[in-house]
Amino acid sequence: MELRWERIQEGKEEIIIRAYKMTKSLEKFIHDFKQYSMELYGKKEDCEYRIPIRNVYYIEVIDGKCFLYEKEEFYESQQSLKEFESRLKNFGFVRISKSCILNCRKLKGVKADKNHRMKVFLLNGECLIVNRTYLASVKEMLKKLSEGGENPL
Amino acid sequence: MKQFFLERTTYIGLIATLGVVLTAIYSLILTGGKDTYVFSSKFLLQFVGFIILMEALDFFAIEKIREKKEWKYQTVMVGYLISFLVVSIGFHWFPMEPHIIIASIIMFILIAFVMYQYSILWWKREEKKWNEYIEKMNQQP
Repeated sequence: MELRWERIQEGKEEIIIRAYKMTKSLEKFIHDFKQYSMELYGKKEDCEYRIPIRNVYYIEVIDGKCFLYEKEEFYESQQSLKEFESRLKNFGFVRISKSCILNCRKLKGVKADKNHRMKVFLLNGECLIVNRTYLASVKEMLKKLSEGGENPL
Repeated sequence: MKQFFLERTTYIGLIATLGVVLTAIYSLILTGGKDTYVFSSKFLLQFVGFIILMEALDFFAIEKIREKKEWKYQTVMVGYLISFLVVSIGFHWFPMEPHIIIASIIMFILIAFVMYQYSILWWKREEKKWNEYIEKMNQQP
């Protein structure tokens, strides 16, 4: 497959893929690219930032406010957890409790916890807890990601 | 099948069933089958009461503690103990002899312990599976 790019002076930037048919690897490429380029908006100290979703570890609601967590930083968002959940479900994000959505790609490992809960350890060293209600969906997502067969957009 | 045994409701149901059966056997030996129905139903009542309180505590209190990241395992254990005592004390209103209460409590603890250990075993296997998925996922480019 040939790759080329053209410099444009005006108009909207776009990427066109020309192929005979949509293959699985092409679907994955498009999906990964979308994930690579998709951004969320978060506020910190009155400044608004664009946060690539690949940098988001988890999204959590505390006292009615929604926060996006990066490796070390966190930002406040105006969007609700439900909105994030439906928007990011095809990007490896899954709900792990009433107040938290996790980016499964940022997982380092898990440990069985008391009362049928699962402790998950993130790549930044943080630890979260998956509640009983959400165990099945998290497991399903992990299985999907491990097989490289995430839902294409 | 594995999922079935991992379900919390399954092992609560199994504890209750085993408890009723064992209490019935115990009462058969003790009273020759005279009060089997009373013994078993009292055990079941006690167990159901305990589960309802435990679940209520779990749902309303523990979730809140965890959300504020002040989770402590001891808090839950104290809560469970209190709910168990509440149910047990509540049974003083029923005409029940002390040795039956003691027997049913011991039986409950024993069965719960065995089932808990059993569920931990399954749970550990699940943990292994999850870690395998994560390892595979992280190996991908």
